[in-house]
Amino acid sequence: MSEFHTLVTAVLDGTATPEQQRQLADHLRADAVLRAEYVTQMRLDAWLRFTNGAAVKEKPVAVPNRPRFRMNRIMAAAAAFLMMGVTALWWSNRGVEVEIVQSSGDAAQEWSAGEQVRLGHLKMTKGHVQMRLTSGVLLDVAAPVEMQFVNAMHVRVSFGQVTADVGERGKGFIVDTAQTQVVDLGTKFGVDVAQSGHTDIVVFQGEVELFDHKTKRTQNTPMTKLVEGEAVRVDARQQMSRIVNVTSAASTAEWSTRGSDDTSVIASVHDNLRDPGAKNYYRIISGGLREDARAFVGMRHEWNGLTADGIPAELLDADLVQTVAKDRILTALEITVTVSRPSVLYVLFDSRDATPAWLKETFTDTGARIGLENAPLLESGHAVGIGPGAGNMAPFAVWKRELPRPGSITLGPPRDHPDQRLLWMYGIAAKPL
Amino acid sequence: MSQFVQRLTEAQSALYGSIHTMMAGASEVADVLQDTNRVLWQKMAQYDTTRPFLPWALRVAHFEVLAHRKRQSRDRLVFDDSLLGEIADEYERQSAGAGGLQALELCLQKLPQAQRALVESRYMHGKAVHDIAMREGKAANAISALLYRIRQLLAECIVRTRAEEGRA
Repeated sequence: MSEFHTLVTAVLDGTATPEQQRQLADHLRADAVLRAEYVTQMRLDAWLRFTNGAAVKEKPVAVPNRPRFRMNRIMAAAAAFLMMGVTALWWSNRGVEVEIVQSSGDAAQEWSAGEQVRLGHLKMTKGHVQMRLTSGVLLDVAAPVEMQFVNAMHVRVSFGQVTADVGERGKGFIVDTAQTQVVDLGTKFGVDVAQSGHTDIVVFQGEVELFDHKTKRTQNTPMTKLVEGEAVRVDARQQMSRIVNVTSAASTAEWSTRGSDDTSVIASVHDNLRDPGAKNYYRIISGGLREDARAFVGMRHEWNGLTADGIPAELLDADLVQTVAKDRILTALEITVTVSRPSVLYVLFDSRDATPAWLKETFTDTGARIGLENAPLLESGHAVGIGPGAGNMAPFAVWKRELPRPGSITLGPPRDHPDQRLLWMYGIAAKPL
Repeated sequence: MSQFVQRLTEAQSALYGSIHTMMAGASEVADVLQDTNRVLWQKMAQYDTTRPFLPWALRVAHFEVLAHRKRQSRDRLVFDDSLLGEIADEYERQSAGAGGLQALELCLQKLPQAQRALVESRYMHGKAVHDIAMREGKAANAISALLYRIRQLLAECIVRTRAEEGRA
């Protein structure tokens, strides 16, 4: 091949170096014949990509014996995109096959449940879509988002929120961002990449490893490992900081590290832990206190009615804070809860334990009781009980305090003395006054 | 509006090709096509229906490529404004007339089986040249050269086919 052919080929193959690109530009500037040849090559390359489904949503088709080009479908899809003012464009030149599990908002106009599509580059400005990759990995993608699908075990998120439930077959699933590489070790985790230049990683179950965004897994030494109930923010300089609050709604998979929305009474929860190694977060679930609600971050224990009568009515659908179970041993812990409006704050405290002084002095025992179901270990193979009164239940007293104005209140440690017996960490809930 | 939608839809391959050519296949081609579509849609009222649609749309694409370069913090486009202008003109000249994609389909069917299989591997299955070369036990250079030749043959075939259709 001539030098010119080599340069055009390098551009077409995506392997051209900056120097080769400059050399090509010099040729094109100097010679109109070469310019025409370059345009011909690029135009044909583009058309061949285009006619082979490079630019449209495609259902996977059996490979025909002869190339059959799908102009009508391409035009129909392009027309649909134009007519509906679609906010997502996707490119599947070397895309990955996915099955749409569910979609909502504007995404529902594009995808319906059960549909098979190929995705290469996804850019979506509105809506939410849940999809399953051929690796079995279930992805929840919430707009605004831009991401690339490298293969069924590897995605790259430029910005936006992606939650992965990887299952057994998906161990080793990789999410790349500009700040870090997240490698899953069998888990459910989420990443939220901000356009301002940081990545938040939240582990809901299992564990993940974080690697330097440049050296990635090839270096074999992760920057850190996160287990369930832990979350960190990695900034542009690879500095990690703890994320203290993860908020979500009771009925959806959506979550946020950016504070609660207007529907939540509890605006934020902070503690006085100064351990630089602490990475645990408090999960605030708007309206989340109902039967079988998880009581602690990263554990299967649940709030339930102590008896078949169910959870006390005054607590039902309260905002729930999932606290950190291992904090039950701390005697200097202070948890500061900020409420956004006049409210009733509840503390759920194991009624078999000695009540700490701060609770007795500043809260009132309502006399109502709620059950904490001590969930069997995952390895035991036994299921967690369903509904009120089911399972191995511990009685918790419901303490309350009215907060007539928005603001913050600091709760004390779960026990006054290190030698004091204590079974469980307390729970926190709130309702509008 | 339906006529505008039809013309814009039919222009998608030409717009994509033009942006792909001007940006030398950069990864942001999809974004610029999306921007171009958005601008065309916004300018629908300004479009003079008595004039050809494609040259107008290609000019908008050209401006969007220039605008994209201005937005980049680093100059990642390899062609300067003057060269971009030359390339845009050449692209428009080669795109004159309709029916290019239909002609491409006919021409692909005329390719010998081995060449058609290579086109399928590269474009339908999205395989890298390197991977095709490994599978065929050939040098990557040889595969690239063959693809280059096939694209040239297809381009000539398209010109011939359209000329024949014009005479018919």
